[in-house]
Amino acid sequence: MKAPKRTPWSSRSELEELFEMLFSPSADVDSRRKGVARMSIYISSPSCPTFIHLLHSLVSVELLPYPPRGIEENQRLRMMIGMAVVRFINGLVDPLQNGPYARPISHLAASLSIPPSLIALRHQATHEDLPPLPLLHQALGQCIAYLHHYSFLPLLATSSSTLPPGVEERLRASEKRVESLTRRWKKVIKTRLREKEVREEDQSAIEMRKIQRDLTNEPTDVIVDVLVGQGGLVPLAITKRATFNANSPTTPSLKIWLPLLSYLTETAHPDLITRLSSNILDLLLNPSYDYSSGFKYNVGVSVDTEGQKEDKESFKWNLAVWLIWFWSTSNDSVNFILSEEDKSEFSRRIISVMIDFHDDIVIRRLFKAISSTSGSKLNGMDNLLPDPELEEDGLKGLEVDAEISGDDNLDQMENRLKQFEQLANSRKSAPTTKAISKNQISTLPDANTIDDEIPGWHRSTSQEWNPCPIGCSGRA
Amino acid sequence: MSALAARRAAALAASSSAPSPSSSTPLKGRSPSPAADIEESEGEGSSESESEGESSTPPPPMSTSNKKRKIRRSPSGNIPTPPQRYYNASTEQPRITIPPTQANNTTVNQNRKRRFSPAVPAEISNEYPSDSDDSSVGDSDADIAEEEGSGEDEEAINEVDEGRIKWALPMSTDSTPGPSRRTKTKPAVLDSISNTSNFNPIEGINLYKMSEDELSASGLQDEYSGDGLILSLAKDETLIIAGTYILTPLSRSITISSCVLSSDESSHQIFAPTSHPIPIIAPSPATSSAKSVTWLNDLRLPKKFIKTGTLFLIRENPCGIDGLRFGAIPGFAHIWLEEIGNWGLRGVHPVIGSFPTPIYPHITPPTWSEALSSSLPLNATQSNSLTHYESAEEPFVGIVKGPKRTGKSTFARSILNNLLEKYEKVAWLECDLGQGEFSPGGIVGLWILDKQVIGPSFTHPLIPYRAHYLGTFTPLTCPDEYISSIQHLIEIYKFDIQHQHASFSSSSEVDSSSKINDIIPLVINTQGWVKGLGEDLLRSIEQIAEPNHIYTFNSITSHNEFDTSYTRNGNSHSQGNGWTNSPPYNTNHLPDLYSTDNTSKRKEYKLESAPTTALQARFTAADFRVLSIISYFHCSISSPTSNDTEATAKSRTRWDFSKPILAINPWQVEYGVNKIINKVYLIGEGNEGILFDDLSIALNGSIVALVETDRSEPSGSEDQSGELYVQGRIPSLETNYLGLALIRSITCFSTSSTSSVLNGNDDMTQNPSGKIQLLTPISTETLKRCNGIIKNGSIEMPTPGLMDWTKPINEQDGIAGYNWDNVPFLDVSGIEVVGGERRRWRKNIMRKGM
Repeated sequence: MKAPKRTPWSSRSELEELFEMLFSPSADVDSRRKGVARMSIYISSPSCPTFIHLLHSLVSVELLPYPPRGIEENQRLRMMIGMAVVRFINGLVDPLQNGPYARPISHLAASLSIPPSLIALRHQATHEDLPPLPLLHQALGQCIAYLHHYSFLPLLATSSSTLPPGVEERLRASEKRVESLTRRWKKVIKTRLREKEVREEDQSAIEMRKIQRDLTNEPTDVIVDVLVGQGGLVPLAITKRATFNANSPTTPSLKIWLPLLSYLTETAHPDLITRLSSNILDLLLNPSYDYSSGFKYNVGVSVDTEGQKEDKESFKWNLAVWLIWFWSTSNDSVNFILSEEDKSEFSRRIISVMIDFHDDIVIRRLFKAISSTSGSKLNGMDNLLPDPELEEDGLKGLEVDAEISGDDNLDQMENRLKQFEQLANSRKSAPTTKAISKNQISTLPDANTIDDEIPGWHRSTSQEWNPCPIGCSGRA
Repeated sequence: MSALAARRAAALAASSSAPSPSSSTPLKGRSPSPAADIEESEGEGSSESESEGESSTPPPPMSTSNKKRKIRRSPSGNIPTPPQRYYNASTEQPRITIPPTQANNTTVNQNRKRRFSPAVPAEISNEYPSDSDDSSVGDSDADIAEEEGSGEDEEAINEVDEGRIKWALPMSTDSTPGPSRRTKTKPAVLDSISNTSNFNPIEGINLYKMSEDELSASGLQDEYSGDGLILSLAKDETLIIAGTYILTPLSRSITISSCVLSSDESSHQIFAPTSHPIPIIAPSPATSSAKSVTWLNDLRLPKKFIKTGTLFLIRENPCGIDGLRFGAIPGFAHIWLEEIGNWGLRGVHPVIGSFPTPIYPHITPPTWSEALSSSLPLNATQSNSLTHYESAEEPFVGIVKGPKRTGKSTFARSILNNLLEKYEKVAWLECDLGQGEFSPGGIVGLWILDKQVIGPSFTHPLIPYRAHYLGTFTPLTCPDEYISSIQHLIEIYKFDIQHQHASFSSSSEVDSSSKINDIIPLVINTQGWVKGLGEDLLRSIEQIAEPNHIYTFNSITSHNEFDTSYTRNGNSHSQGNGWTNSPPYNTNHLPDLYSTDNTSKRKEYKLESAPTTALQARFTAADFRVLSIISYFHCSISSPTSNDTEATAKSRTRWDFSKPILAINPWQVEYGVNKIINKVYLIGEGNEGILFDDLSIALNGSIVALVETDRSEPSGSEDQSGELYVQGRIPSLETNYLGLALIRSITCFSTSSTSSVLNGNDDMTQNPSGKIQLLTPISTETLKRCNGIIKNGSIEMPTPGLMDWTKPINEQDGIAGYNWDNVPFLDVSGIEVVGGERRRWRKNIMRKGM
């Protein structure tokens, strides 16, 4: 395993937060100021990466009022931007000067794909006349964009997969953008729905249109991925989701998402619905799909509790519900239609997995719902299901419950056992550590007895504190 | 017993065939070769000005690192000019002069044999210039903790290897590719120089084991315990002991680490890790001191025991520092050797005969002893007659200066130790931010010592009398604060410390000790950055301190102007370029109490650099910094209580390496207005920009200084002293540094919202508060005084300090039951991006055709 690398930020989410402050579509002067302030913490650390230093100076110069008022300010700004650009290139290139002899900066910079215009500008700003302000200002933007693209985005990329670095970071970036766009979409449209009177030209409408426009520029795959993921089509709260008895998404869901979906199919992504359906089917039919990996902000990776299991099932069912809805609304005024080819393709896939998943409650329901829609090739095939007696409506809810609670009792028991074992271990280990330290030649002068004498200071005891990495609180 | 006999035989052979290391004239020291300088500074961030200086140091024509590399690599027998130029011209010729080409091969072979045969005893020791530099390698130059990350281990190793080769070069110039190549592959063995003792232990004759009971029955009473060994050294015998032990001189006096210890009933903790030069114990040549401990005659020694020799007692030192062998600090696991030494004592490893681990002894170069003996009345220790010291009105104020890696700290420590034979207490002013003698660095401070310290700096962390935390390893980023801190401390010294009323002396038995107790002399250790701004800073320090003894290290890097620039009249520099008027200071700030003309009494001494060996290059300054920071947090520093002295407190200092830092139970303390911690200062790069809202992010996981701020300061004064944190606020000089702490977590109670910050300071002064969990080695006595913290991000916990070294690292487990994604400050993804590494500055790069 590669040795861990020290970072000045405590966690990945802290870094993502910085990214949002600086580069998210909603970033403004205020959030960027905060970003600069955040970077001031990092730059004092010896383990701070070069690009944060560079970004810090570039962004703080960028935050200066532009265009400048007055000649003096103009000159000042030229000096400042010039310095920032020179330091940007030197900072990136210097680590490459590892040979005995100096190599030309232009060669080294080119190997980092720094735009040639910037390289030329550096030379000009160092040795010749200061370049004109507009040129410098534009270069400043280029420098920031460079660091955004080559340093920040790849660093945020979660996994080191086999995709070529460029592709991966672009995908990752657009995923982030789409995520934040859909979040904003939900927020805006919800407030709009709550209000009784909405006009075509008010703030929220403008915002909605902006989001729609922005989304048209993103790749379809990414949009689809985000929509089927957490915080997408399926509401986060279980109570807001469609029940197992419903065959279509809840009305609020439809109201939230249909305007966006229809806009997107009409404009840039005509095949959005097909791909969305296909993707939903992928998820449903692929049991190994780990739903928790989609839970971006969910830290718990522990054993499924009752709630999580229920959550998973209902999540799957709600995706299925959307699929059913797409499938069945072909005649509606909404103009997204699954073509007959698609439908037959999907039917084939469903049937082919039925052999293995005939006892998966979601798939059964899906199968049933789809086969009952008119014009489906599965029509009448529902009696092929192996255990028709389970399909009785009255048993459905019960069945799920029984299954889950059965497993869960076991889980619970196992959990408790683990807890007991841990407790026992900690009791055991407490005296042993003491024994060890006594055997050591180095016994601390019995810390606990003296320590509590200082008012306001308290030495944590092993009962209230557990060893944990530096930066964590380690409460027992 | 046959093994012992063999060893004895070997020792005898060795001693007969070779002069003892101390009596031999070591090669005159050279300062680090320019090549090594370059190598070192390449990766380390320091000022442009320094780099310029460095690059200009090597004599122009061909002494560049590349030349050397080329030479080394050239396979032909093309013999380069031997590196005499690295030695002072005045010193003796290096052993290897230009050999005839034909003889080349044989010489190579001989050399190889001699170098690599482990059996070869002391005879080579001459050839290897032994070294006495230790912690001074912690030069202060701006190498801001460069390669401490274990992620860069490989690089560091390379660096070390490179370094080794260069260090080894003078010995092997005639054997061009051979040994240097081997150096790379077998680093551990080849340097097993048989620097060994010429003491020949014979049980019952000059070595005798005694149990604790026997010892205490004889009358030994002190803060240490355990069985012991009584040794007797004849006049010309020397003994090297590696490891750590308690040394109690019993009769006459002994020299160790360039200092004299007399038999005055006191015991000394000796630390001799193999990472540093090992002190040599030898009888003191000073004849006058026939004193011995009062209970010597009560010792029941065998009849044959040579009681006429110099007698001393060795006991185990149970301080726990050898717990490093559990692996807390990578690279330093073996510096204390095995647990039990040859004599059956824990941590005591006599170096007699051939020794399996490479070591290098501490050597006192002749100029050092001259300087020491002429400036300090060493042999007058016992006499009550007035020396020229007491007659002189002016108390001793000595300053030691010179480039890095020359032995500054070692020499300064020798002065300190020798002064302590004469004076009851000695003050030490630390100006070296890179590696403090009594702290892990980043501190300008004043310590008052009443006991000799023998060992590298990480073995004696102490609470300062008064100190200022700058939190950086180089004064480059804060020259003004640096100088004003020093000035403040020197004022404190001159007003509060220098002259003591005898009755104030803490020691009760004033009369029983013949030491001077109404004057406390001062030793000033300076930073090794002697070029550019560093030179200006040094001159400022000298002018503020007005020392009457100036010790300057010579080095090949010193040009004429280097020498003159430090003399009183060398101020011609200050009217020149850029930095010279900064930092501002006032040379006439104190009334000149002691003399009207300082200059006439000023004594200057020129010193040669400590000899260097290849072994030195095993560790870089950054390695030692990792060592001192991590070991600091494993330590518990005892501070003197009302009824004991600094010395006895120091003997209680313990290290606990039984568990990693992350498993040490932390202190909990609240912070906020009117809470225990009621002041937070952020200093250093970027500090002004840190928002109040980000305070907990800024503090979490960081190393901070615990300080005592002036409580009497009226709140609401112009410096907004009432508030917890003010952006850009700088601690005042009244703030006193107590010790370092690691903030291992921080919880914020109040949810001071963004709006409250934007709206101004009014309501945010009310509510911010929270709880801090922190680790600190300082004692509860000292902790009581703490009411504020200062953070400077430039000193941070090295990566090994964040890890759990008790368990192997692997992908699944993470740390302490947290999987890697949830471990703060460590990234295991291994993603590499443009500009994703730490900063590296280009340094000393040459242009083609220059």
